[in-house]
Amino acid sequence: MRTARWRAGAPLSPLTSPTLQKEPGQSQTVNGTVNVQPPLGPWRSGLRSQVALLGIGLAWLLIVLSLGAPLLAPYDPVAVDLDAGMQRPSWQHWLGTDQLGRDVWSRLLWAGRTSVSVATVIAVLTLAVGMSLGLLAGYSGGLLDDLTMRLTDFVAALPPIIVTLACIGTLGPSLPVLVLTLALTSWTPYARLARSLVLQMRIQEWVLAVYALGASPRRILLRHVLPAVLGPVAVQVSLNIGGIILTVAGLSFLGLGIQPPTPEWGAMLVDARPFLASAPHLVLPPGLAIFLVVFGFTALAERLTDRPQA
Amino acid sequence: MGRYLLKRLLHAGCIVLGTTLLSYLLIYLAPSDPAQVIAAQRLGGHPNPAQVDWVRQYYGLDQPWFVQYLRWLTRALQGDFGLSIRTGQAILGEVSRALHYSLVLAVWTSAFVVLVAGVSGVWAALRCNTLWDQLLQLFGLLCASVPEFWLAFLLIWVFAITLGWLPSYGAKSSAHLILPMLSLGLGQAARLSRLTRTLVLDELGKDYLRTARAKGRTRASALLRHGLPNIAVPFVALLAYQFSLLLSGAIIIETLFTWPGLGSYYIAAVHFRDVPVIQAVVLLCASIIVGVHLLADLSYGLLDPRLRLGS
Repeated sequence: MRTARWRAGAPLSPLTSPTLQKEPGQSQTVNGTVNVQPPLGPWRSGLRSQVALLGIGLAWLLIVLSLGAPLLAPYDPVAVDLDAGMQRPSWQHWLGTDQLGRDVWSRLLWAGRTSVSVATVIAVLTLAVGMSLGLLAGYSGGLLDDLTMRLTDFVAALPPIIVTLACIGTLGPSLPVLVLTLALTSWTPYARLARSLVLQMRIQEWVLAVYALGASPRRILLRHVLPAVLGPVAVQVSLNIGGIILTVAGLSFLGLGIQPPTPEWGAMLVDARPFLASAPHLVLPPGLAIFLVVFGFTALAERLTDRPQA
Repeated sequence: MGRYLLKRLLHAGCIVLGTTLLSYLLIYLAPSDPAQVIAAQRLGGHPNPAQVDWVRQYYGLDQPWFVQYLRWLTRALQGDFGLSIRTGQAILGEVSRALHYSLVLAVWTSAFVVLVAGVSGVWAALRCNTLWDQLLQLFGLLCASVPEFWLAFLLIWVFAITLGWLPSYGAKSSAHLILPMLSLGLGQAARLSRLTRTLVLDELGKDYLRTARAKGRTRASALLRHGLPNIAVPFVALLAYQFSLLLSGAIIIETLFTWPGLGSYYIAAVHFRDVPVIQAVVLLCASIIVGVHLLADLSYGLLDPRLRLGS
């Protein structure tokens, strides 16, 4: 399974072309980025495509509304008004109020702001760690490659949510711990993807041409390889963000993620749990919001995969 | 094959060993002094410094970290993870009881996933691009994006509260299994079904199936007899990955349905900051993941003779 290696300065020929690592069960198959397409891409036409497009649109709308929460939310998301508790949806409170009289629509928007910003920070950190390790491993080859990939194998065996919970369990719930442990345990798909793309790329003629022109490894990597790698990576990011939002919501649902009173979708759901039978209007909005955003990002990833490579 | 097996086993062993080091070092993350915690738990109340020192010596907590690590490791390898701070019971017994429940849930969920994904994936591929296929695909996409815990809420709301058909918490009978199984399984089935559909569509266009059909088999029977063995490897790969997720990551669903598996045991430990239990579960989960992937890797040679080594 190990690939042929190319070191900077070594002669390049298609004969030493690396056979790409195909590891079933790893990120490639799991995340559906495998380029096996049905004979007729069903994405371009039909019902499914339209619904997916609608999902992407609604998800972006929700994200934009959430980011504008300070301007758009009609009420203070944490203001308690016990007299106005458990109201059904009305013109005053579009989605009703919860058991403490807090406006659900305002909380939903503020919670979205929390979820989206936390997920973005985690995604950027994950991306940075994974991409730099993957590019480095793929480009340098040799011992450095071996070490990096062994590290990747090791970290990939650690379930992110278990490790994150372990750190929360020893250090106590806090946002920095959550962000750091999630980022440090979920970068492995990026590293593998970036490495395999680099291996693919360095036998491309245009890379060889730049190399022949005397470009430095750094220039080749940053100016020529990195931009070409970004397409497939965008798919991975899109899939990843949905997963991160789910994980953060799940942790908050367990009471170990974002701490109250900061509104968060998962935490709103668990607050609503005792009122499942009596007040469905508390349960539906946060779940629907998580669903919509995750759906939007998954659909976006699929559209990006389907797009013909430029 | 023997060499390959040995290499894979060594590789898996190294990863598990690395995990033991990591999970041992967790204790150094904890802001509290472990001797203090143990003393408080054993003796009750606020132990005086002499008692804490005695505990520190008794448990070897005054030794250098690698001596402590080796001690912990030798005991862990013998199955002795010590006592839970929360319950005071031996961790091994508690963990194996919890693992049993998790295994039951994971096996049933996987069976459900294979059945649903296999049937719907093949069916959708055979009806490619018809309205039914599109509807099924759409439904799958929706199922794959629904958060498990919200799906669980909806299922509880419909089947437990409104209709009153199924129990919503506990693990007394097999009826208690159904709602957690559905909550965990629908999303996984949707993902596997999607993969199956793509794989089958890919195979349907190949020459060997045309040959089989030219010899007089119907499309479905040619696919079942000749096509399915060819999609077995990626299918098993995703299934193995999902199975390892079920065993180690069903935390939220287990907690929600108070299913006494590994996940809810772990969460109780995390809430209580019960570090010895956290260490044991981290180690166990990493071993499960490594083991399941190892088994899956080894099965590829059995499933597909072309992947066998050493010829």
